[in-house]
Amino acid sequence: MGGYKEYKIGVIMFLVVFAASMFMTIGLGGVYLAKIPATQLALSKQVHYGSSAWSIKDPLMKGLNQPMVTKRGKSFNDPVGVGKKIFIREGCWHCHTLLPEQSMDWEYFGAPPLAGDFVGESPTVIGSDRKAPDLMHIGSRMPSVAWHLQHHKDPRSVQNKSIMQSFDFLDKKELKALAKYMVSLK
Amino acid sequence: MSTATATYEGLKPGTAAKHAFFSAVVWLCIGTSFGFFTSLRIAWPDLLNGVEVMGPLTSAFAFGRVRPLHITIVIFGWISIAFVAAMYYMTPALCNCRLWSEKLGVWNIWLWNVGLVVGGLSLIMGANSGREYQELIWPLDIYVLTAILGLASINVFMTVLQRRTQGIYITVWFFMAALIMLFMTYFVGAIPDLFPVTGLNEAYMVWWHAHNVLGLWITPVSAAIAYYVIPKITGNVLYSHKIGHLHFWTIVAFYSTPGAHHLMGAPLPEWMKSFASVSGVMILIPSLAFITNMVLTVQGKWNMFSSNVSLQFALTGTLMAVPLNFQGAFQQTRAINWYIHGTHWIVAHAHFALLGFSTFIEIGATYYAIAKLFNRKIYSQSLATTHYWLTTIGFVGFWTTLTLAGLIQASGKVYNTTFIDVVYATHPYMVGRSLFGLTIVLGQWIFLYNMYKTATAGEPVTEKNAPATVYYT
Repeated sequence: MGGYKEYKIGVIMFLVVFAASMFMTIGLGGVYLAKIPATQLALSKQVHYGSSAWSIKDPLMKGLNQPMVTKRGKSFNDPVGVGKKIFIREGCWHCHTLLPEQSMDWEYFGAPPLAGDFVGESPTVIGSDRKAPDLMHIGSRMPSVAWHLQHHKDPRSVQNKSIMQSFDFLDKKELKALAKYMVSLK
Repeated sequence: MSTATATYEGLKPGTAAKHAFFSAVVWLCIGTSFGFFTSLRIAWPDLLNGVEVMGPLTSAFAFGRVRPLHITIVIFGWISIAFVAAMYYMTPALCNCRLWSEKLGVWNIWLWNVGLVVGGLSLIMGANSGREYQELIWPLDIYVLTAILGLASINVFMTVLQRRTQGIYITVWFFMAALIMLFMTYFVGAIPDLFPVTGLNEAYMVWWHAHNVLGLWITPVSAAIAYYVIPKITGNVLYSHKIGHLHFWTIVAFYSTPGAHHLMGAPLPEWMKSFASVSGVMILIPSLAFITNMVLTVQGKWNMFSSNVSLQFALTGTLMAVPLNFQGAFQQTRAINWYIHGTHWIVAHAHFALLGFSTFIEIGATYYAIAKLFNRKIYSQSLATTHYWLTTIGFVGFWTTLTLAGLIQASGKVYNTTFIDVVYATHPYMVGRSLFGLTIVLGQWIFLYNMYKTATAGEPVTEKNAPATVYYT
């Protein structure tokens, strides 16, 4: 670049301007968001979900590395955490949001979450495209595991106008985990 | 430079660009076909379910697994490979030198293709990071940052360093800046995969990435390609270098800042939302600067719009940026966002940016560059015109049906209509969207056929039949 002074200035200016713009958004915003304290709900989600992100220990996202629970002397992966992982794997969040909006969803989908409700959760899969009902409080609206099992196997048997595809290809254990995850979303 | 000849090793200049352009067009056909398939699964959800022959593939072709495949292939297959193809073709042309290494370029494109095949398989097998627009798992993120973006950047930067021109044209500024900006953007998107970043911070980074894959990569590079193709084909000089400066610096300064406007309904602090919203409206400055510059460059040559298919595509894409950017700038303000957020309106807008604006400009560049690279005329003008009209009519219809469906959803949301009734009311529009989607897909397969025939059977250009500026018309 010998002799082209204007390009040296240009390159430095580019780096300064771009760094400043990233500092304002990612830097300041990130520091602020990282300081938000966890709520009770966030702590309970941390206990059940563990890490829902993809991991080498669980390459096909079957929920093999979710937190363990013990019931009647048997030890197994927490079905709520496994259900969330299946929710991510099957891309449910491409249609169902997990975020009642602050502006207008209070009456229909319930109270929007608090900032601290997400602490420790990753991925949050709050979704962006609501082709299907919000699920943040689905466990309060539909508290029956049996209903969810039937709904996932054959959506149109419980809601004849549904455009959700059938998830009959999931095995019994996975369907049960998914239903338990739905019910846990109070 | 003395190293310039050493790196050729038997490859003709333009080899990397040829590989890149053809890979991109093949991914365009595959990506749009998967898009069409996902739209069918919304219109007819039981399609393929319970079909005996599908067997274990039923899960692989479930809606939730094919949708990320469509997005990943279209953005990181078609659009991004076509961008790098344009870089491999235009950077040497504008720097009056050869590409730094054709061999590295060919390796880069094939590593890219392999990465997309592996990524695509991992997505339909269910390995999904759970972050929209950044759905590849973290080992693949690292692969994208190094083998794909890293190698492409090295090649473009080294080419600029060995240039034999005094100045650097605006297209090349954008290429270089966008490569750096995409690297940073992709890295920020991958941070929650690689480091323990959780909660709203994770959501914010995911949406910052999703916004800036468009804002710092797709928008500036599409514009950069138009800055090359439109003056080149019309034979006019760029209208204003200064407006180009305005465009460039405003993109660098505040195209990245409105990331939070994707989370207007989330419990982010108010100052972040306000900051994002205000800087979101300022997006109009670079976009209007770009459009003005392009439209004024065509002065006196508008007749070529109907005679040159490359210009037809590039200018249509540029003009689409007018409604696109007004829509984009204002729909993210709170006054409008609360109404249309999360509806099909947004899906229509996303296709406006990726298909209406970016893809049209890139298709224009592909027609131009493939004819130039193979030194042949376009095989069939009528197929090219058919491609133009199928894509244009398909896109306009697609956008209109989705926007109408979005408005129905929005009013349903405001009046607390029973949700399932809104789903039912929008169903006919989903069927309509599939039909228009099919129109678009057909156009792209015709495009692939036409490009293949151009490379193999197009009329060779000789001194006798070569027009002054371009190889066809």
